[in-house]
Amino acid sequence: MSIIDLELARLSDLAVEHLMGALAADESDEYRDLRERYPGFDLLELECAAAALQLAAMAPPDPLPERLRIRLATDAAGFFGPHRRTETNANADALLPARASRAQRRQDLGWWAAAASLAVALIVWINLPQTTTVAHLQPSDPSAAPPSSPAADPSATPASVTAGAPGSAVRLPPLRASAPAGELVDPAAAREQLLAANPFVLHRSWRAGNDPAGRTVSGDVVWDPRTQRGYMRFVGLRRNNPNAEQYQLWIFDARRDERYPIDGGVFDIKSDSGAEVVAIKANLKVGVALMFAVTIERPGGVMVSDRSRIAALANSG
Amino acid sequence: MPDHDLSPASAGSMHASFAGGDGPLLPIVASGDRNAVNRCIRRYGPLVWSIARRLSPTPEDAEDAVQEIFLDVWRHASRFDASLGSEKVFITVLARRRLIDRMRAQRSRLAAETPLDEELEIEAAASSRAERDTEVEEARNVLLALPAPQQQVIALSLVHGLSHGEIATRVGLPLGTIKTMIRRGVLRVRSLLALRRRTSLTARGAQ
Repeated sequence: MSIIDLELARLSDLAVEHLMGALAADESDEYRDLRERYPGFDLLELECAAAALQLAAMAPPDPLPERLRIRLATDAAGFFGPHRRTETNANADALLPARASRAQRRQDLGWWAAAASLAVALIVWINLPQTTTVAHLQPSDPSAAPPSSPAADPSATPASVTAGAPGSAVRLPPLRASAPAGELVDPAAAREQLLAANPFVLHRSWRAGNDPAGRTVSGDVVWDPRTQRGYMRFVGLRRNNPNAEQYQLWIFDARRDERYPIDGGVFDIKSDSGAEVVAIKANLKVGVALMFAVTIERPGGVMVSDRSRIAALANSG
Repeated sequence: MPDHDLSPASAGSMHASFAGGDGPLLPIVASGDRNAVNRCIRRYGPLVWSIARRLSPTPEDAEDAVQEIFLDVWRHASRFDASLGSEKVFITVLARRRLIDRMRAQRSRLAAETPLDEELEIEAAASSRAERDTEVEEARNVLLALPAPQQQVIALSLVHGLSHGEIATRVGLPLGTIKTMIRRGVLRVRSLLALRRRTSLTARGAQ
């Protein structure tokens, strides 16, 4: 065995110690020296072996605590937000990242700060039972109902509305908390059913944001905190080209950091009249919905909006 | 809950259809696809949490570590190369780096808190079908072929983060023997994985 072989074997031994966090002080110096002499030594290969061996020796994973999952999702939203950092160092050792400070993780979401004062007022508003809007079976503006909505037909009742094109006879299933809203039924019909079944559902009107796409927007958003289901009814919201941009809903929750509103899903407006009912698909549980905001984002949506294009807002005002 | 139930709809996402099943997520995560990010948390969160819990002194410390590890995952997602290894191993490497870094900084270990019955987890570690991973399977074969005391020593070091000295005290073997046991196990797995990688590259080159 040559000297090089012996030194590489020694380097491997020390590298294993290093990967276990078990290098003694004198060994650290020796390890560093050997690494400098053999820059081509593949530490990553050894790391993968240790990782595979660890996985082989581990019991099946424990469930991830829900609160931690939410924190991870929030961190990800911050990371993949508008100020996303990039890595350029391709050296394997440089894969060991610098410790991320909490301050770094926080991003200045100034756009939403303007909503903070409103949020305070909304908390008070929402907690007052006498001010809770009682939903109606009929939309406040029947003319605004989309063609497929049973609201356009006064004779329709929640029990008899049908989904799909006129003439179809698919009877709506009963409302169930676990039913994925908007997937099994026509959103417009499901919205009516939700309103009929839940007299205390939250009901807010849309107003225009800063983007011309929402200049003439009206309609409303309904949200049932008990079943975590809700629908957005839009009139006058500009039709979008899904290949270029999409609408994305954000839900402000009084129980969450206002910098990180809940993603309510990406959607399109396909009608030239801008009349559409869209199911809300919140990716997290909504505690107390304070405000709903629709932004215009790239196709597929974003983790964090840069808030530059706001099509519509819905709150108590 | 299945992964596909957890993300909001992305009707226009070109990546959505590619993020299904058990295929690699990190290349999609690297593009910032929120569906893939959520799926990644769902898929690997329990694994990272389990690793961190065993290599951290307290649950709170483990939670902080998991957050840091996932930030590392987001940062390095673009560097993942499926041809060089599995996603699970890649993420475990990142987790180990972060945790050992924290252990060094904190100079604390979980040794005294490690329940003895966890030492027997090696035999209970057979993965589910969904979790099967060639590299891990090979490592498991290596592990199970080792004498029981060596299996135990490796688990105490890699899974539970005990120092060599702590392991020596616990199992009543000389420190040098402990080091040798761990080293041989890791190097054996490295040799097998390197051989498999070369074989795979050769096979691809021949196609």
